[in-house]
Amino acid sequence: MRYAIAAIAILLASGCSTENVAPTQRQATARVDQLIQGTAAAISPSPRLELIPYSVPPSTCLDESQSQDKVIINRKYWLRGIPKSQNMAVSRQIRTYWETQGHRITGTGRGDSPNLSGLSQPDHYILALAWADGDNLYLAATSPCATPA
Amino acid sequence: MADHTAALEAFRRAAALAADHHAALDTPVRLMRASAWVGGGAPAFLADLTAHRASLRTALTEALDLLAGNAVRQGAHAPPFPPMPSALTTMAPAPSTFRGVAPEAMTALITALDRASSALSVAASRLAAELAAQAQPTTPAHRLAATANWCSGLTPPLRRRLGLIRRSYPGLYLPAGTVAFSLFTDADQPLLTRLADADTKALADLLSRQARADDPSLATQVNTWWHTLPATTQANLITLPTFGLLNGLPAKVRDQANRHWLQTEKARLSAYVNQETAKLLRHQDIRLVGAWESEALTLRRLELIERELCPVPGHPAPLLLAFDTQGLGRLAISWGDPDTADITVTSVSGLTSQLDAAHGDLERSRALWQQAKSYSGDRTVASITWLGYDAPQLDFSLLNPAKSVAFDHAAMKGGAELASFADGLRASHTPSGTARSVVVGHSYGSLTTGHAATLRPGTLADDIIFVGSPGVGVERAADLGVRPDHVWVGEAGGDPVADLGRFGTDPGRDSFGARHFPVGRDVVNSAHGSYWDQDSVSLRNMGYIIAGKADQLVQPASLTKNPQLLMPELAPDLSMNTEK
Repeated sequence: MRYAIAAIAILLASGCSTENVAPTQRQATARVDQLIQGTAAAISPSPRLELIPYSVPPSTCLDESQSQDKVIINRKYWLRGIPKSQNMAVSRQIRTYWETQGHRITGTGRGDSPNLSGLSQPDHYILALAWADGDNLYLAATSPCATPA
Repeated sequence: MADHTAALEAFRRAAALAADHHAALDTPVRLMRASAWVGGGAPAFLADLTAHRASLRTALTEALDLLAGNAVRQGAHAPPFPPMPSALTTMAPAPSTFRGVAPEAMTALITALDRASSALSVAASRLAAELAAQAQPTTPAHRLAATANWCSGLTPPLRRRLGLIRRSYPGLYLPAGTVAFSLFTDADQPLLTRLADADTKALADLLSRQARADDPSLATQVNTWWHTLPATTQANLITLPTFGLLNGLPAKVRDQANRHWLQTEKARLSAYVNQETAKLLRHQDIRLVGAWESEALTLRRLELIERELCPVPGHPAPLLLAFDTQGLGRLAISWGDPDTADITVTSVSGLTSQLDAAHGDLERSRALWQQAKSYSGDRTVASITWLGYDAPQLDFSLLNPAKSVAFDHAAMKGGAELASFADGLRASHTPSGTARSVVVGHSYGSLTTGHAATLRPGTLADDIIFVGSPGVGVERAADLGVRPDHVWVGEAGGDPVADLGRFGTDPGRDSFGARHFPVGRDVVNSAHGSYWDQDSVSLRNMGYIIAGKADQLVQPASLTKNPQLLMPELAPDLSMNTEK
């Protein structure tokens, strides 16, 4: 029993699991898009997604335990066309959607801040709904380290 | 009777002079107190001005005392003195972080000093004549003349230099430091005077002084000196190797000079390596390999820097603020212009950071730029990667106290270099009352940042962020010269470095007195290096702190549905309090 617990602890600490095989860049891009589109579809009123350009170029995987050839895929989209007064409602809708999808909620805003952070399951993509100056919201998804296409 | 009348008449004439001139320096004092000039030597000038105003009043009072005493001794009644109120009523300026000069108000100040000079000069002559005619000591008149001379010695160069500075800085306000060193002193820094003639020894000496960081005003002197140079001299200096390393030069000038130096060196080394490679192949002489290898390494590093300077879509153009290919190498690149940015964040890396591994540090700075920019609306952001010191490495240097991660020698030396670099950022920034400066120290880099903060209390940064810190060299946040509620600490669960507390109190402890910011519990893999993961809680929260939006910090979610509760030691955020 002790060995089993130790093994689980090591697996958790190292982040290893049978589900954590690195995706390819193409798979990661598709999954990021799917996470964004799926989340956006769960929002009412339906937002217009405006891509934030600097999120597009793949960035280097900064995990020192992995090859530096690997890349991170990230996409950020402004959620346009949503009244500012609906920001908290949007945050609640997204939280509900992520939870129903089995994703893990890792962070929330304080008080009336719509901020939300999540981790997709079972593949550990970082999810974010972020508040920005001007009461604007953006939605983001980030892949784990992926093998370049 | 005749002597008595003459003595009283002399007193009355002197009293009229006193009534007309005792307030001659009140207008300049009022202008100074009304924030015509704030910071950068203003307090010292105001102290001089106030002393001369007091001296003027004392001289007039003493002259009247002498002449009144003389009249009384000759049988007259003590004559009444003219009122000379000493208090000066001014409206206190509104609290502001503005440090600079309003040129129009400064012009009015110079004009007022000019007028005072003329009037006091005439008054001193007349007073001397009255005192001498009554056989009284003329010391008060000499004192009046000294104040007149102080004003007259000040105004012509002030007017000339103000004109020169206004041509260099066509904006609404002038940088405070520029005024301090160009307007009110001769700014006679012999090394800078020699450097204007492209003296490379002077440049080396200046860079050496800069590395010691023992003169916080050096960068401001450099900035002032640069702006007063003729264009032809400036163009010549930009081609001088290592010139772009001088802190205090405008960021775009540094970039231009450093790129020129990089290209020149690259061309020289390419030619050398090609020639020596051919020679090696021809002669097969092993003795030629050493020199070839060294130069080839330098060339590779120059090419690495060149690659990293390629523009990245969606980001501002990178500015090359500093580089050095010797030893572990140095590199400082800014994404965005720090001279005009509303927000500047400088990242200081730690253990194992060096030029050859700069790519990851540059990625992190871009990630910070993205995050801070996302939250900052119309405000501009500059994010700087500062690899400006010899950080400890995991190699044989572990055994060398001067370089080892186990000691703080490297951090102390690096802290001095960082303090000087920050001096340069302040000196070259356009005057602003709202611009923010933030320093992020990671790992051993947090110790380096801590040392820099203690060298420049109150001026290194508006906010300091420590992540994965083994200690910052002080026992309490308050010892860093920054208000403790502007010192931030982020520690990932499972980050072994953050728990060391090797250098002073562990900043993660409550007793240290800093504010904790959550870094999220998705940080499990490679915890020490994962603070910059895109859109992670840690990166988002650093972005909010940098943008000055700490009220938006992302908090850890409730764990009620999370199975990793089995290992609560991996989630220190749970007990965190950001409400300090």
